[in-house]
Amino acid sequence: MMDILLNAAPRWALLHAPVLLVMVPLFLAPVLALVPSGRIAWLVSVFATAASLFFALILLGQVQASPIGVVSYDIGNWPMPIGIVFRVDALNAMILLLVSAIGVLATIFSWPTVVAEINKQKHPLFYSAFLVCFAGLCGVAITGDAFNLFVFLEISSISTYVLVALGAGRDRRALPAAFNYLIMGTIGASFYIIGIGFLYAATGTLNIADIASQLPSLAGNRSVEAGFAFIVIGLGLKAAMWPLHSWLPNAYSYSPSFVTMFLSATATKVALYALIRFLFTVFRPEFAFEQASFTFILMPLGIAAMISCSFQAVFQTDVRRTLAYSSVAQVGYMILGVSIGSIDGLSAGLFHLLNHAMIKGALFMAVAGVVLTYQGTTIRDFAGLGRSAPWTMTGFAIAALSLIGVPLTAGFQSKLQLGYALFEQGMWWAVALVVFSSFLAVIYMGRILEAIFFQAPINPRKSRKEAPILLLVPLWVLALANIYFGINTEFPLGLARDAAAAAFGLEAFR
Amino acid sequence: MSDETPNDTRDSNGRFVKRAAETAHRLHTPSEEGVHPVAKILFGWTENKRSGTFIFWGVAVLSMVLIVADLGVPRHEYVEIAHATGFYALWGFCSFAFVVLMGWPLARLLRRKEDYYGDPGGPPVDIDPDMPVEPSAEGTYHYEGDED
Amino acid sequence: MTGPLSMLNPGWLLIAVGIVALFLPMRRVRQGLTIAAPIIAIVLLSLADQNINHLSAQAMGIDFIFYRVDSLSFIFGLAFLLAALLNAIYAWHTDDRLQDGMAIAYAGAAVAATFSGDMMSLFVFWELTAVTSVFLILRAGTRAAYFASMRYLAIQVLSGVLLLAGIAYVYHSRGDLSIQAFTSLKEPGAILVFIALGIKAAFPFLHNWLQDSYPKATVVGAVVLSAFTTKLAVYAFARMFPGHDALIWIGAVMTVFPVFFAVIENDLRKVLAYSLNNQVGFMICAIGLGATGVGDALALNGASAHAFCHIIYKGLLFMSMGAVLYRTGTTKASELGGLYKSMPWTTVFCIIGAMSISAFPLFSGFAAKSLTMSAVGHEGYTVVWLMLLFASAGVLEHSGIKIPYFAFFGHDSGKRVKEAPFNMLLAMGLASFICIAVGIPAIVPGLGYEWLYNLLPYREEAMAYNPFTLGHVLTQMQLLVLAIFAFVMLKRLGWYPAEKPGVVLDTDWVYRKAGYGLFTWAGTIWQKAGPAMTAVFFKLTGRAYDRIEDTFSPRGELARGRLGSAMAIWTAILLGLVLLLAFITSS
Repeated sequence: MMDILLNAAPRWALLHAPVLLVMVPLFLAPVLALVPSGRIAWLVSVFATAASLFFALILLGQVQASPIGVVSYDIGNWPMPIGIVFRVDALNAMILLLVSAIGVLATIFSWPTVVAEINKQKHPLFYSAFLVCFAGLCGVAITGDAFNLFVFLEISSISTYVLVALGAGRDRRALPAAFNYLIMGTIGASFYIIGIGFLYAATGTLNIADIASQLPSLAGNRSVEAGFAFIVIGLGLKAAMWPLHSWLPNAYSYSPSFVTMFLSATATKVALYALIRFLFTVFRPEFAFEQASFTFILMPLGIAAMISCSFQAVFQTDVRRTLAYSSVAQVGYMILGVSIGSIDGLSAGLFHLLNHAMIKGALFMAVAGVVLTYQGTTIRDFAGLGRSAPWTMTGFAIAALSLIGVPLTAGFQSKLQLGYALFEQGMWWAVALVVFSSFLAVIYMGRILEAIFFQAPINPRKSRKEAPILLLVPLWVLALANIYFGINTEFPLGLARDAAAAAFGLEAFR
Repeated sequence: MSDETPNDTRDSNGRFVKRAAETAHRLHTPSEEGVHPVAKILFGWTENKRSGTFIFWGVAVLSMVLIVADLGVPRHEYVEIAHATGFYALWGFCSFAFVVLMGWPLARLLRRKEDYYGDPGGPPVDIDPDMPVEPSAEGTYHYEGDED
Repeated sequence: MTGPLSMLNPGWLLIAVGIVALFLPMRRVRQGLTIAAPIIAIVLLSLADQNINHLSAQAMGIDFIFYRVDSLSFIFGLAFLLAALLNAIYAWHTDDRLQDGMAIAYAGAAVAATFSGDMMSLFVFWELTAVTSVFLILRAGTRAAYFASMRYLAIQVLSGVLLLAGIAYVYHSRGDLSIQAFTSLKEPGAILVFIALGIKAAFPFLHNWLQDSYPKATVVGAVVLSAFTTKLAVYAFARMFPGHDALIWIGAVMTVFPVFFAVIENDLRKVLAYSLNNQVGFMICAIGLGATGVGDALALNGASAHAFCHIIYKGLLFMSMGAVLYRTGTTKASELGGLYKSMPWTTVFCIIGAMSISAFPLFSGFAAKSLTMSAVGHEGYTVVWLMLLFASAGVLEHSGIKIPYFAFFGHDSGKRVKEAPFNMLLAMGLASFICIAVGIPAIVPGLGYEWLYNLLPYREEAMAYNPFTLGHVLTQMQLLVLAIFAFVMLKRLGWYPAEKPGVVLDTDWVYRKAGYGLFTWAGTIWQKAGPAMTAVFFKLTGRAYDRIEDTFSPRGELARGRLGSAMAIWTAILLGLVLLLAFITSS
């Protein structure tokens, strides 16, 4: 399939795919701000994200075809240490594919919810902000320059604050949520840039590959260690690593449905990608201080996230908050996988990252459908919806089962991989905790499913009212993907394995 | 038989088809008491009061003959002990007696009431629909979980 | 033979006919089909070339061999097909689509499994025998039959699952799935397969599904069941485990212990089920001898010949008891007796079956069992040989004397019924004919017992063996006649235990009573201790719940406090921790 794509694509696309991937949405964003019609803005956004998806696929094909597994693009033909480089290997090719694919689905689904939730005059601006955010996320994933990464991180974050704040039209609490997010996001970004400053002081370069090549000779350098600490905390905050997650539940609960869906499936994932990039490519698990922080910081935090946030999810009355806390718990799984420090652990974490994006995307889409038709997100509002909106709720149920980790779903496969990786290290107790956390997931998703399918509707006038077709199609694409990848794991698992190998710098692994 | 049967039982073709058919019919039709005529021919002798005694002594004599014959018949045996005269006879007799006598203690040990497992069963559904119904000694069964 | 017909596994033909019969409402057409199918299958089989893969395929990297005939599978397949034919005749008086279809499909599955050349196809038909045969029990329609059939199905499927697990192991270690003899019982795959086969062959302690279910099956069902499942397992053992010493002893124990149960059992069909167990023991024992030396050929020949004859005479005995059940509604010895008066032909056939199974000279059991006995003696297993000899006397007791005596003679129950339907008599007559035909000496060379020996896997060795030596006939007669004398004597002395109604406990007690009792006992205890424990439990969990809620709920500890400040503090703390750790570890 990749061959066909590579053969069919025009030459300019092949040559400039890395830069076009980011630049198409980034340059279309200001144009959208000037467009009068929201509908046109929507269509342009669909086009922009689709174009990015196209380029992401090309990049994936090129990376897979490349003998060294890396595609480099020097911006403005400035060579590597001086100029900015876009550097794509199997790891960020996977992330780019994920972000752009979710971007396309999210944009398609967005129109009905945006119409319902956003002030009509603000539609073009909203899409403009979204495209900036999208471009920023892609940029973070694609760039090979540490400072450039900061820039894209800020581009995406600032536009995200705006997007979250736009939820104020529906719920005023979106404003403090956005403000909180702004403060926390800025702290995270500042920490990151401070860490980069330390690394620059030690190595004299900002290029990620260059930093990586110089670090082994700088063993015991205090500024490298300080840089490491700041970068891990900064990116950890962006990735909603427990206990630095508390911006997330509010931001997810009060922002517009579309934004919630998009952010949950991509934003934390991209931050986590950046964290992985620094943990495995720049610093290496062999470094003593990194090994120690894996064992004593990241793993306990990952497990604490799994357990604590699952408990918190159990007690929520709002479906979106339940899902938000569940997201933090799922980030815990990924952090746990990463902190094993082995290729298998990392690939399990990345595999779960992919699957979780599909799961949460589907869940939040279904919730958006409910918000759209019934204007409520508490569990009570969901009562009896299984009968009035069977298609939406079946999609929701499939994703929920996948979140729990029922066999034949994607969620099961990633937990299985995580379990294998843990077993390999002899960490039975961690497997037991993962199972326990899944059990909590049974409770918190079970509560919702029970309300949906077994309780009588609280409002009998809610007769049959499905979400619009624009919403149902992406929802079912994701739901069916959950089942398909739960049965045939070849594609996502292959991506995750390649990505993990690339993160370790093992191109030959492929 | 020929005394009572008139000679004119030939059919028009002069064959004994009719008589044969009658014989076949007679052999096929149970008597008033429900006894099959073939049974009388084949096993009627067992009803004789002395048949038990006759069988007992008959088998006893046959046993003696077989054991005595053992003396004169060359045998090729793989197992050493089997060369002994009358070994098979002794082993057969003892085995049989042991099995049967073990029935007493074993029955006491292992036999339970028919509804021990709560499902005494009954005949399958595909038995003869014309089976003569007789008052069952056991009466009706009560299954676990049945009403009343 | 060539052409597409040569690739048709006769078993598949039977299965196909079974499926058709399931949906064929026209009774006589259906029954005609079920009779014609085994005949056609026998013709197909006898025309098939041996030691050639007639139909094979490759999928998923596994070589499937769907149809392969050799001398071992030939005789088992032939016996299965003959049994299928007799069963179809025996069922002529019934009108039951499900039973007709399942019976022929069950036979077909057994035949198809016999002619499978790879373990995967064997497994598929192995499971098919379980699934089809269960209906023969279920159709009895009684409550007891329902529960027995469920137990039966569970155990049969368990056997299948174990077999599959074993196959998986074997595939993993060997890389292919062709059926080969296992050289060692040490690898887990071999053990799993061994247990799976052992369940179907009703090994001691794994045997009770048989005595539990067969006597509860329908009149026709019990006849059908008696032929296939256990003998398929015997065939599989002969294929995969010839010459494993374990089998010698397992087989010897199997011949002995059912004898004691059979003596005190009241239900005559259950007596036959125990007898079946005992007979399979002879075959298993012979297979265990299969590859230890010179006895090799003799023993495997013995197992095959015994299986062939056994299928016929055990079928005959079940048919006669089925006829009794059909006419009187019971097979309980305590309720029967004196039936020879109303069912003389059935009596005759039953006696022929009884004499065959007791191995009287001139009957089939003699020709078959002699091979096994000679092999055991030849290999020097004196104890085993004595056990088998003891079991032979036991067979005479429960199958040779008890069955005909208590059903047809003994105390007259006063039951006056009709003679068995003609089709039953015909089936029994045919079976009796086979029993005698393969038991008599070869007056015409190639007939009599030689006809059977000609079909055995090791033909040369079989033909060199002569069961009718004077010494052999004499010793066999000694054994039997003196055993009969013991019977007559004990009867005269009044020491022979009378038949009383009742169930006899066997290993099924463990799951039908002890397990059930444990369950009820636990229930009672729970009812008493439950409320107290529940109270304590709720107190504890309630406290834990309160604690958890205090911490995690939206009103709880974790959600309290100003968001921003809490987060900032956490960030600082974590940063400090990471820095500290980094400094400690690198210095």
